[in-house]
Amino acid sequence: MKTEDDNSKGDDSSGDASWLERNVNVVIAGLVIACIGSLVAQLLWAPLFAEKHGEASHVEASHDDGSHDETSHDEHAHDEVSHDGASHLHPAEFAVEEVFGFEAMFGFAAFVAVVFLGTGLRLIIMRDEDYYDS
Amino acid sequence: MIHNLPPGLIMVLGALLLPFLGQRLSAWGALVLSSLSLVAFWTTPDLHAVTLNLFGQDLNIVRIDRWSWIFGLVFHLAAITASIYALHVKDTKQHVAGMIYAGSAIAACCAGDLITLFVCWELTAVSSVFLIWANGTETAYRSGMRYLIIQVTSGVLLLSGAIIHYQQTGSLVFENFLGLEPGQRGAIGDLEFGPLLILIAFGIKGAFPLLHNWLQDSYPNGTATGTVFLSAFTTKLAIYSLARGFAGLEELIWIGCAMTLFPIVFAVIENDLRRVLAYSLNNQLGFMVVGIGIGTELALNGTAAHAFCHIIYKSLLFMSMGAVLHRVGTTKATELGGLHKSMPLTTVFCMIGGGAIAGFPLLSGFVSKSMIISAAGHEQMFSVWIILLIASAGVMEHSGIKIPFFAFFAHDSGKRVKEAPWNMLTAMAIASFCCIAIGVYYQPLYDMLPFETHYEPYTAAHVIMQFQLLLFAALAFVFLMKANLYPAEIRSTNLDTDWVYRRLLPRLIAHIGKLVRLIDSMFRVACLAMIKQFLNWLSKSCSAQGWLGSTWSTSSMAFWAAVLLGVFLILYYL
Repeated sequence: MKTEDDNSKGDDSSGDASWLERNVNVVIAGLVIACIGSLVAQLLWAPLFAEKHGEASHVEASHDDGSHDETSHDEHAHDEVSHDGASHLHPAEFAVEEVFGFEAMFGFAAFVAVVFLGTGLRLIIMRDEDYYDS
Repeated sequence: MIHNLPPGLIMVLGALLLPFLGQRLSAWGALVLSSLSLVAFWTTPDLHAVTLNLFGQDLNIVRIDRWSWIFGLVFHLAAITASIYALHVKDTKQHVAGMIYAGSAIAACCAGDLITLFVCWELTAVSSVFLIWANGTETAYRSGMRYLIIQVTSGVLLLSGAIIHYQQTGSLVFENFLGLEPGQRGAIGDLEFGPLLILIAFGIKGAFPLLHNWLQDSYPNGTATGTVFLSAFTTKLAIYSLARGFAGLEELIWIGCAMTLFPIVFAVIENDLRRVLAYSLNNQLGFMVVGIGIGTELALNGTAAHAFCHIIYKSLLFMSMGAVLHRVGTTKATELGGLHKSMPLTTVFCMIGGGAIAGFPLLSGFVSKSMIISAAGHEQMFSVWIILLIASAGVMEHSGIKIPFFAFFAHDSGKRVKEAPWNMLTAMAIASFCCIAIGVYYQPLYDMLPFETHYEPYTAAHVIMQFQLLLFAALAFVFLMKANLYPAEIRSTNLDTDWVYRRLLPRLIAHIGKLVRLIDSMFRVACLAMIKQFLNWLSKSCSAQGWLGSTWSTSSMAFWAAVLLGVFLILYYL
């Protein structure tokens, strides 16, 4: 799961480079494949993302045969929500969750934004290492 | 009988005997104490309460309900793993401090009234500072001093708040100060002055924004093993107290949101990896505070579950960095890199901790954090939900990637050290096992939560979405590294709010002192000049040529005597 942690730069010239250092590109390729896989998975499971507001995943079985009893589903879901303040399910609470690749784009953008903000923050708050000792 | 004593008391009192065991055995003594305490705690009956009458006041010194149970249990687990991790340490006072600290934190989360809570609250502060001072450096001493002052201030506020609350209500019982049930929400305006002080006390210990910096200041200055203890108890005790006293306080949602956001930006540019972990800890507390603010059963369950998982994976991360510190002597990213060759097991454990905190499915963070995010979703709080997603990507950045990457991979620093000692590896293995076990088999954890729940974290949509978020965040890291846009590690100090009391206030006081000295010296000079002038005038007047010293004629004397008599005569008639 944590292939992304292994992206060592591989510019080790000391001769005892580990497998990871010699195969950084393999690791990166693995990550890219995993990313694409997560998008493909969304396509395959698209019907689940379209469910709205507390539709139960454990009632999926009855869902599959095409019989679509909205009212009973809704009642059931409401019952669940009021019962334990939660549900068994992961419902799409907001419309934006149903957009294809939303979390992927969001994860990428948020990461880049946080890093850039940090870089900018350096201009304001970075001092010498012995700042408080001097 | 033992159940009528506050849980953790075995550790607090037992710690006082540790010095008699000698340097070698005291570490094992600490492990035995924490294990014994766990056995006593485990066998305590459910919903146990003990009341003690002291000075005519009923004190509820033991109250074990579902909230106390889950925190007490995880505190015990943390104490045991931290004791195993510290088995090689020959410094008895660290073991004594660690046991008193852990024991008093456990007693605090089982306290039913505000006075017992206060006593334990202060005991955690006073005992834990020795884990920082044990480092022996001047920096650690000063940092520990600042830590102690801030922690004791928090205790004083708690006591003041408790007294005012008692005067207003006649009750010392520690319960929701707004009288809210789960699912209800209240505002800060509804709080009386007493509870408000208590909220600030909890806020200091819980590292609320602007009150947070003692955390990043002190934890990186603790010893390798001491910081593992520190990371587990103080802040989570504050989370427990907030959940108990202020669940449903709406403002906590926004305080929590701020807490999840600002540390992730600071973590990007911090060079000391233990300080990165301290920022990361702050960010994780934010998730819990949001959960407390939302205050529904799902959100509060999420907070309890997240605190439970967080204590374990955060200990694990601090343990891995402690192992690096122990072997290499530093946790500065600029000095590290390539350690996966010489410390492969520590590397794996660190990555498990990093994966757990980032919330990868099948690891513990996923099953707890998602409850809080789902709770925000259920309440239709879109902006909160978005902020928590940003924060999740941020966690991936600083703890999921930065910590393992810069310590164990990145540029090879050329350092070839020994793998961590066996006891550190054992403790990390236990914590890693817990991270995976909870992630895979979460039902026992869910069964322990304060409210009954049927929450299901592993739905296809949720798992896929989480993978997308985390994998693409990792992809962003690769992209930034390849494009040379990721900020290089630099040896530096980054200013935070501690600048106010470490630089601004001392300078301000120095300036005020200078001003006072200036005014004082000007005043003195002026006074001296006046006195000198007067003396000059006097000596001139009294000299042989001066008007007082010279010889006067008889006629002038007769004239002045006549004037004097005349004045006397007029005054007599008036």
